[in-house]
Amino acid sequence: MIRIRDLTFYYGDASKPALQGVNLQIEDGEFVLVTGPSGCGKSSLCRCLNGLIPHFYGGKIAGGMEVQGLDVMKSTTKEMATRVGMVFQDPENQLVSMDVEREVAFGLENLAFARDIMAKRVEESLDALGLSGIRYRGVHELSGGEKQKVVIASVLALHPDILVLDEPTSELDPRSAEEVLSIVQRLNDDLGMTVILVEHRLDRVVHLVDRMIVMDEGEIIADGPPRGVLANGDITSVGAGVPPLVRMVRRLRDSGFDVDDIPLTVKEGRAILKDVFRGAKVSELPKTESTNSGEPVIEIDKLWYAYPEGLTALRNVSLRICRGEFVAVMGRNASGKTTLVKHINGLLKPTKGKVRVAGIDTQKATIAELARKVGFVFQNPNDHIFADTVEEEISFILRNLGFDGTEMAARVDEVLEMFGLKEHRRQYPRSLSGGERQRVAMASVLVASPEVLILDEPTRGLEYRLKSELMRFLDRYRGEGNTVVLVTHDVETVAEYADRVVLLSGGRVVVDGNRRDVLSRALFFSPQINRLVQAFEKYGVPNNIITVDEAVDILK
Amino acid sequence: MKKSRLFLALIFVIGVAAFVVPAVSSGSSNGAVNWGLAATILVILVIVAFFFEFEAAAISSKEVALVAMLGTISAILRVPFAALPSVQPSTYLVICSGYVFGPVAGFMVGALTALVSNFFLGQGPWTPYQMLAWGLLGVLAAYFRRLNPGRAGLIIFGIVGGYLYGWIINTWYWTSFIYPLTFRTFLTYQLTSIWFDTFHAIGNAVFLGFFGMKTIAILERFRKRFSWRLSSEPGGAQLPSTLSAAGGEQQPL
Amino acid sequence: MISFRYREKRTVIHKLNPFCKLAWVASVFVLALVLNNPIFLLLLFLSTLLLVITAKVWREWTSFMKYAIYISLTIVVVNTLVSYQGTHVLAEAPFTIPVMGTPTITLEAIIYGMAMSIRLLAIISAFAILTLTVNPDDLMLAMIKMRLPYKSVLVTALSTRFVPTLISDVERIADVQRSRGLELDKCSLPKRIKRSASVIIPLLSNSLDRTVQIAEAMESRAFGSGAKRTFYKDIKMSRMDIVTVIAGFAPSVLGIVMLILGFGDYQYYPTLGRMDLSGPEWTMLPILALVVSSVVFLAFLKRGVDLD
Repeated sequence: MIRIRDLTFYYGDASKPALQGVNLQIEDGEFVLVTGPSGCGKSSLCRCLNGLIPHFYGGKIAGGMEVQGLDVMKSTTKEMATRVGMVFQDPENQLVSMDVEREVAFGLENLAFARDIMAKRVEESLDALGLSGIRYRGVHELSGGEKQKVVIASVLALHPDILVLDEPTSELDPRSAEEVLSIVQRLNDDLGMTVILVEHRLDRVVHLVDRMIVMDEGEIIADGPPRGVLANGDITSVGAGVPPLVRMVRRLRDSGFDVDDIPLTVKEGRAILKDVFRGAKVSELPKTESTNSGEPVIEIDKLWYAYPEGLTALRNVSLRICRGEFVAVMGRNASGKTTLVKHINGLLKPTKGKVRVAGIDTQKATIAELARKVGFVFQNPNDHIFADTVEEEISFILRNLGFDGTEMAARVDEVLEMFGLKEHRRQYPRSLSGGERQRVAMASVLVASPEVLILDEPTRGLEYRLKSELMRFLDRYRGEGNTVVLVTHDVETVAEYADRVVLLSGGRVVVDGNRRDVLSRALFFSPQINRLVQAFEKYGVPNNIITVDEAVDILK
Repeated sequence: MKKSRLFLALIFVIGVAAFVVPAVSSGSSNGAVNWGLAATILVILVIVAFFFEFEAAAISSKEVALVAMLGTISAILRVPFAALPSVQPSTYLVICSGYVFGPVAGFMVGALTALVSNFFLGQGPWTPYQMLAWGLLGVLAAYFRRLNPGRAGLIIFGIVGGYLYGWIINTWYWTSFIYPLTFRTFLTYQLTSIWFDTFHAIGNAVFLGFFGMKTIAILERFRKRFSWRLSSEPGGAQLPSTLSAAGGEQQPL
Repeated sequence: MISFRYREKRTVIHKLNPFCKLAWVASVFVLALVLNNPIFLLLLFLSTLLLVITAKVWREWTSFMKYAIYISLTIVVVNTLVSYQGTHVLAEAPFTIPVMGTPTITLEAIIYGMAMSIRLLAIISAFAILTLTVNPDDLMLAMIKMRLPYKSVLVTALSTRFVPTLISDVERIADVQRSRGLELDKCSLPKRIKRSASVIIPLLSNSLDRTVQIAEAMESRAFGSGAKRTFYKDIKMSRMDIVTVIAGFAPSVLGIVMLILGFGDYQYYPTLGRMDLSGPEWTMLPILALVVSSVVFLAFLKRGVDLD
């Protein structure tokens, strides 16, 4: 059991508390979801449960914490480790050994278990996660999903009573994420382990949990069974990513429909909304106009690419993208998405075939020359940032491209204004919040006013509020006649913003069409709303609805 | 604490002696003392001694992770890269590490640079000498800090360090393969690597000049963050729900 | 892609206990430094080849040798130019340099330089076998077994484990910065260094973030000071393994024996000595070859035993 009383905590150099007056009691065997915007204190709360706060982080602390009968303040992290297992966001940074087996044994070694007990525990943990087949593999050879499973196994080997997972899926692709979550659910279900899970993709987890806690600014603002919490309006105001299904039901309620329950799964949604759709007069879906009419800006012709190590990543890809288009490039891991977009700004040159961007053959141009036409935003804004001030960071590309003086100053001022970074211009970029850093990364690319913007998984691990801020911006940028190419796994975002979806598999384009045709009735790539309306086709509901807005509009 | 300083001083004297003694000895015969072997054994002993020092000094996972990561960066930057053509910032990073985190961390980062990169480049009898050479640069940088050197001082340190490194590495070849072991042959052997050492020295100077201070600032900021201390009495559940005062900052490690 | 020099291969040499190979390399190193006679040194070098062939690492080994030959040349040149000793003077400079004296080239110095080159080749060849056939993991396990302080071994292991991670970090960051117009390859060295900051600084800052997370993850799995720890993996030592380790040490024992007997030495200065091929010293030649390559025979024998 976990008992937290009046807990307030400040990090060493902070003036604002990370946790403020937190009171919480969690019973054995509960499955608790903790969510909230970034910086809300959810990660700090996790770190309290195994004593990393205060023992590892220091800072100022007041209040009481008791976990499994141990006073956290008085217990060492070593004592806590056998009670509370911690799994963090990025599996890469949690693996400290060369191979899987030794990784799983690491905690046991630290606690000086005898070799025969270790062997037994390692075996059990590997079995529980289905990792026996890869036990001798080097950790650097594993996929992200496998790595996270190894982390969970290594934590389970210590036989904790409580498992705490701090955004364990945010670095994973959807398939691995689902796998990890189902493992966690099984641990809770079969072994009765208490689970505390921090997650911002609520649609993945709400149906699994018993209880949902929403935090904001260090305080708990909602706590209860998920249905009740989701029905409550407060949680959208703090920017938690409410699942589309729930958003839809709430919108329908607001416009006077009689829906008495909150669905947590698509299946429940079908049951709950059956009557609404059956009874309603369904209007026509507006025609989606084809945007594929402007002049082409990216022309990819019979492109083949093989990596120097010999792996063929792209096979005969041909693609024409026009000015003003918003194209989503989707596909499983290693399907060639990133390899494809790296050809657009010349980071990779074709092995065979041709790539032309704004009339320039990439084979004949340097990356720097192409940088005037094509901006490339990578997933992690931290990879961009190296300068001492925001201003310097943003002007880096201009300096590289040979701009100077007033032209440069004017452009920098313009993007600072555009991204609301004016007051931060002299600040050290790394000291900014996650959202601000993302804006700096965007600004530092867009200052060169490229006609084409490529984004490689910019929404992975991004909370809902920042994601919609980013997407709104892209929408505006596209509206000015520019082109956006977005590599993503995020079906819901694509459904809402992209015009066109290109689906890659094994280095080939398998589907290329407007979003509605590609995303509706697809087995794995359908958004939640589309999966819902499939069931209502018999009532005359168009089966190619893909967003909440469309579904609500149609019922009006 | 005092004991370990004494120990460091002792190690340092032995280390220097290992290189100075053969340089001034007349070396009339190869038979009496096998200098190549003796120097290698001495070098290995010094390294092991530092390992023991690290065992005592690295008290928590923080120090272990920090030294490992700095060592990794420095090691991979030694390996020629397509992304960073002919730029080898290892030495500069070792110097900055020692400068900020002290002699033991500095030595370990330097030693790791050689040991780990040689898993990729090839281990050889040169490994211990490289470990010692980079390690000593880390140690020296830590003590050099006491002089408040500033940017110009760091640049000079980098230049001297580049030659010192070459001198230590050459010592192995000289003691093992050159006859007679006199000052004259010693000097000549140093000359064979003069180009390489000069490039190394210039590289260090340029790195330290352009972004030595910046790197030190980043590491310094991190060090401060790492040595946060709990500033309320860990009184547990009995603690009143008022915060204790912010004062009483403890000394960093 | 950058990778370990070590590659997993199924040969008897790769299967040998790491302690045996460590002992063998250290022994060859000692023996090479003890021996002076070029014939003995050459034989020592040739004996290491037996391991190279058995371990099927010929191609990788030649890349070590390229480096070794380069160093060998400097050794020959330096010995030739600065030794000044020896009676067979081939050339003498008509001038004197302060400190350096009058440059003189002698036959003795050339021969000595060549003998020393062979010594170097033997040593590097032995180390190449170590690098190419011992898994770094096993090397670290061996370090623990040899009672080296655990935390030093841990940082080495941790560092090695993060090499691939940080390499992909560098490549990714370089891609980011090149997309922002950074050009690293077409400029002078100082400029290149200055520009490389845009890769090195983010790499450093990201790695420091990693450091915190790694430390947290270790702490969460009970890593800490004080108490002793146990080890999951162990290097198993069968009776046969112990025999191979002893065989690994044999060359250094031989070296000491030869040192005491005064064998394996050769007079280079002031005049090249005569090599008398009839004395008892020369019976040492086959013994040397046998002792140095004994690990190969034991390795095959061990496989036979393991199969039983």
